[in-house]
Amino acid sequence: MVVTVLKRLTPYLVTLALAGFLYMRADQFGIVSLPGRPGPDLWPKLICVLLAVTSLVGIIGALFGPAQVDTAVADADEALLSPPETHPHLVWFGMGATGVYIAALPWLGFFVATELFAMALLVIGGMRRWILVPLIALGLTSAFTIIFMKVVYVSLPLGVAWFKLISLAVFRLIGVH
Amino acid sequence: MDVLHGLALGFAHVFEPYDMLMLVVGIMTGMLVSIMPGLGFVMGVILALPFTYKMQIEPAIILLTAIYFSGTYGGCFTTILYRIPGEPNDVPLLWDGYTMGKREGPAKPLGWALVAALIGGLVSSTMMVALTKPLTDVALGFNSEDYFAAIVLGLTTVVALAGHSPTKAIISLCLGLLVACIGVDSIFGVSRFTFGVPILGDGVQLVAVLVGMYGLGEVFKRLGQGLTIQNVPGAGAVKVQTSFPRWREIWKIRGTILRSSAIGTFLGVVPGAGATITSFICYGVEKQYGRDRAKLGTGHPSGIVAPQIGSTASVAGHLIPMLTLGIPGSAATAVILAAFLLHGVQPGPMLLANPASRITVYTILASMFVSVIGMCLIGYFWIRVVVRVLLVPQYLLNTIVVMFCLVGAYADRNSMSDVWMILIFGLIGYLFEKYKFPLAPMVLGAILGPIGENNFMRSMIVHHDDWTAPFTQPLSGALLAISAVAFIVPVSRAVQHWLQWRFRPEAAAERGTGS
Repeated sequence: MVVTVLKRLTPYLVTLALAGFLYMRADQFGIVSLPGRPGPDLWPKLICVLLAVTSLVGIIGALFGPAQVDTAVADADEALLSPPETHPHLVWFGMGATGVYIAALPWLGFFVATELFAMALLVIGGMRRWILVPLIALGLTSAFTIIFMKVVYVSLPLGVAWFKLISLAVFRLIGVH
Repeated sequence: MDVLHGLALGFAHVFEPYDMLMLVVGIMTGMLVSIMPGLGFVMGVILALPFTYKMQIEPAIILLTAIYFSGTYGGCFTTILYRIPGEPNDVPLLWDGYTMGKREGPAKPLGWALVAALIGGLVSSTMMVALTKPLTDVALGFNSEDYFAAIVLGLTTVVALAGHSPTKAIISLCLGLLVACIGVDSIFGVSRFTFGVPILGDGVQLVAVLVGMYGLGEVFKRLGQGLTIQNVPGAGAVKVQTSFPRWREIWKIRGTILRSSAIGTFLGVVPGAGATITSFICYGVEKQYGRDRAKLGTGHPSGIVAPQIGSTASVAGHLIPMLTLGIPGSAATAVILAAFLLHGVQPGPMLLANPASRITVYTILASMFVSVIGMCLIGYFWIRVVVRVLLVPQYLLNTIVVMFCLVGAYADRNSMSDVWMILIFGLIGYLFEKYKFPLAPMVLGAILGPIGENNFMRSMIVHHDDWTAPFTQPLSGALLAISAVAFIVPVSRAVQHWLQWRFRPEAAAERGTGS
């Protein structure tokens, strides 16, 4: 019971804290409103107040309102469209892999980083044909390299040291100079 | 006459080879993404956005508009054939489309859906084109107060129409408005909420918000759901046939066609009332007031035609306020607005008033007609191939979508910070979905926030810091009054529901089961 209430309260507590924090930050802008003269802090402060008030309403609702409002079971048709979450850990694996990929991209370069990331995503997504995983990842990486370098004309990160050499070799192979 | 002449020139542009190619690609892409649960036409326009960076503005917008139009139609195939609604707006098609398909074979309901999409698209496009000039003329007379009031109206209707909880919708909106505050303020030139991070000085890129929340957030959600699609057909079972209804049969449901076309077009203009809401309302109206209301749910043509017309008609309804006022009413039009901004063009009344950009508007308007006809023609053949995408493993599709989101965002400014932003907004989008906060208010708040703030501050400056000015001017006052009603109605309904639950729990439970 306590856990359920806490779960329902959490988003509102977070938004309330955020509203308070941002309101205080708005007081520290280079220019602030003076009596009779609005400044750049006026609009953000108005929104912070609205956010804080609404969060308080949400907190009251979470504490005293009906539990089924938040946990209403979707009907069968909606469930077809959006089934319930059954693998929450996969979400965090996916986010973690994405974070590592973005951090590694400038160092490893697009080609190597994307090959590894695509492999990780395929495995997280449930692919278990271990021989095919690197091959499909390679196919996807090559396709994306060609699309973004030769069609969209994006300058993709090359990486550093050995990785840069690998990237340049791959780009030469696909005809990008 | 001016409009017809402009439209004729627009048609001439649409039929130029490159524009036509983009239109066809857009139609095919829209259908491809709309049949897959978890992708959808919003994701389609987001994924196509990076490809438009190097294009001229006309083919870029034609591509995105065509994806949007055909995306409202493609999902009917998988809904009717396999009971897999590709999009939320396809859900009403389950009740009559799938039922009729089981009884008489899928060819007939597919034919009805095609006729409905064609009629809905053409009628709403015609009505909206006729309204473009008058709307532009009205918008040209807007002052700061009017613009501010129009933005407030847009945001309140988005809040009013977003989900079951007004509290969550308002919080979502506030977060979007606060995101829009990040960066250097355009009136005072002061850094706000940048926390000493240089990249935040430019503000948060619109593309990052859209791609993160709708693209990556959706992927994370689907990962949590285990990437499963129920009712996927076997490889041999993927067969599609369409048989058209007779004129006599169409004439019989003329009332449904007229009602749904009018409702779909009108609701399309209302910000926040996307294809899903329009589709459900059109079905609901038929169920309440239609001549054959008792037969709805048993596989009746009205139950297919009404939601399909509603979905397709809403697209033109959404595009026109975006073109004439610069106010996007849905996620897909927000992406199209982003495409305009990436090309250095600000949609709004000046777009049509300026002779140089007028032809662009008419080309886009003409492309709506061609898209509607094209999606029915191309769809007839293309869907037989594209429906096989359901057989593609979900882990593969998911990987492709993630890559498009990340690399597409990087391609905008060649900036890794934008890619980090996408991850942050992807996380926010996932948490929003998890805690059932609607996405649309936040996204539209982030887009409309700066316009609203600029006009509010301008109004304050012009009226010597009199904050009541927007309330006392006739047009802005009227718009704000409508906003107040739009805001009060859902809030009072929520309060009423709470009071009923608190003091008469048995009545509240009865209502809950009744609805």
